[in-house]
Amino acid sequence: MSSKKIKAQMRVFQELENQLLIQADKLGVKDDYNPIKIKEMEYDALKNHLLSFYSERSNIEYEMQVLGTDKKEVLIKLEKLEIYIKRAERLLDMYKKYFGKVFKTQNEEKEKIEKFLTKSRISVSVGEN
Amino acid sequence: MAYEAPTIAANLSQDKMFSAQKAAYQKLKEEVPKEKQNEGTQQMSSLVWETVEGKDGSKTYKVGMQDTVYLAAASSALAEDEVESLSKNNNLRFRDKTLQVLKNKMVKLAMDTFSHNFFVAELSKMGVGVITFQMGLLGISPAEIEKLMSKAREEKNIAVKNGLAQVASEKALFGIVTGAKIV
Repeated sequence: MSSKKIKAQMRVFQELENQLLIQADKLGVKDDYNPIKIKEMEYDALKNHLLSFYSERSNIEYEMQVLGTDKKEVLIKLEKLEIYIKRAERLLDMYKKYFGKVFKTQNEEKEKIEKFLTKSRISVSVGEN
Repeated sequence: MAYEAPTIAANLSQDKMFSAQKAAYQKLKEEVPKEKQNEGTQQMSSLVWETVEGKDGSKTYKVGMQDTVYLAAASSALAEDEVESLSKNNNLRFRDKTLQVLKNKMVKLAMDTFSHNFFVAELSKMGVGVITFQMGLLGISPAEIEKLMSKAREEKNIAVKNGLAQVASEKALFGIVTGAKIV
């Protein structure tokens, strides 16, 4: 697929997401769907797809080994499945990196705030006079 | 643009609707005894509720005072598929059927009031107002209407959640199939 088509499709996904987020906003639950939460949903969906690919692969392998099927169609299917699994695993790694990066920046910001709060602590001494 | 969820208490136009409906109902109550006096001379018409393809036979109901309201409500709120689905349920009588249709329609319209499309949302709000009025005339309490509104809200919430999950799933699948970087 050309990069133009991919971009167009991504825009469609973005538009659908935006529309649903507007609806969530009207319902007053937009905070439940922040960008990280949406990425988490994508990550979960990706994992589910990967699991179904794994099970499909094991089914095909079982069919080939036990039933002795070695048809060209099955081999092509298995090959395609391998490609999809590799891509899914690569995407999963990318998501993990993304989450790592997000959590790292969040921790850094948290540390900065804590540092600022400890620095700007005001001490008051109360004398007898 | 900021929106307010259509609640019965907060919406001024709906408040007006309620007061108008209350007044109309009161008037109707007062007029009933007079009508009863004239009953001997008044020509009563009848209403026929046909079931699907007439297999179960058509049912005839005498049109009473309040039935005109039911009729008006039904004719404005019924969609063909809804009539069919309800007609198959022979246990329901005409009034129950109308109420059921109105309730279903109300939930659907109330769900649409949260639509991202401005026109759909505004038209749905108008529709909710009209149906609220009709339901009020048919004696449904505001508490029950409010219950329907909260039911619609819950259903919409679930629909949004499922929609986002569906988009996420399709996006992930698209990334797998095309190898596009979706992160």
